[in-house]
Amino acid sequence: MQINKLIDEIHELNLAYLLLAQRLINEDRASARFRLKIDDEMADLLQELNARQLTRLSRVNQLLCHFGHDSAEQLRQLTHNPREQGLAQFHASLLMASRPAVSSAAEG
Amino acid sequence: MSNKSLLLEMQQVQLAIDLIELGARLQVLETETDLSRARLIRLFKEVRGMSPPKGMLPFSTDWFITWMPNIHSSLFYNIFLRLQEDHGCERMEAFIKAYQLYAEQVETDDAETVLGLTRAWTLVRFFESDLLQLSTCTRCAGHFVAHAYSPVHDYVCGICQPPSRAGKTRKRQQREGVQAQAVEQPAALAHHHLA
Repeated sequence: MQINKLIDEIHELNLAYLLLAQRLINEDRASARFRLKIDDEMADLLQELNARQLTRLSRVNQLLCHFGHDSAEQLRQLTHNPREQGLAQFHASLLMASRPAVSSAAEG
Repeated sequence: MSNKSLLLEMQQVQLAIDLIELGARLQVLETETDLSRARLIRLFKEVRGMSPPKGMLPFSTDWFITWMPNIHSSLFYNIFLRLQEDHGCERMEAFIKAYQLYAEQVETDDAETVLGLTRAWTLVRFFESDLLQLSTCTRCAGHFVAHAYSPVHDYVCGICQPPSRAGKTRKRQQREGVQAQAVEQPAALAHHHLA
């Protein structure tokens, strides 16, 4: 079944995302929080998760990592800029950099 | 100097080393650390293997508003604000990390590091003395560096609307080279006939 294969891929991606997040946080906490858009409390929690907890979190039928751009309008401006000057990646990075971290309190 | 904590002094030396490695001028180090000028010069020589360059720092806000510098400055400053405001980084920690993250994107893009570290520092200082502001682009909603008190209601950034004379990047020219050849060939042939 095609859909089962896709769900397997979601599980894999979720797990890979969590493992990457932990490695980023261990490497350089402040930069990791910037890259992941998470607050301090969330960084603490993620860092402490054990293999069993990571697996459980991953095995859902939805993606754990969320889309990095705010609106379709903004994304269109990035991908369909009629006056594109080879700065699309820079533009994308700039727009994502201005996004605040998701607060774990607000998420709850 | 003598009653200063050793640990504090070590942190200052480390900060100076980090800044020197990223390309800071002496004036930056003198402002941001309590180390003496003589020690900073020695440190600079040891880290970079040469004497610190002399001369004044750039002092005009205008550079940050010109097209390509504006884009680079805006990327850096967005990262800096994020680290300082959201992630509770102390000012200089946020500055160094933001500069590294900016340089990382430049490297990914295979672009030129338009914003040097000393310029980036000047930018932060200009913001701190309210000479610059962030304006929101009405098309992409990105935040871009602008002169303080400049109008914001119909602001469009330099990426959404590049100035007509904006130069194409070398990378883009290479990419378009193949396409351009097809167009140029008839012209080249015509040239041949004339010759």
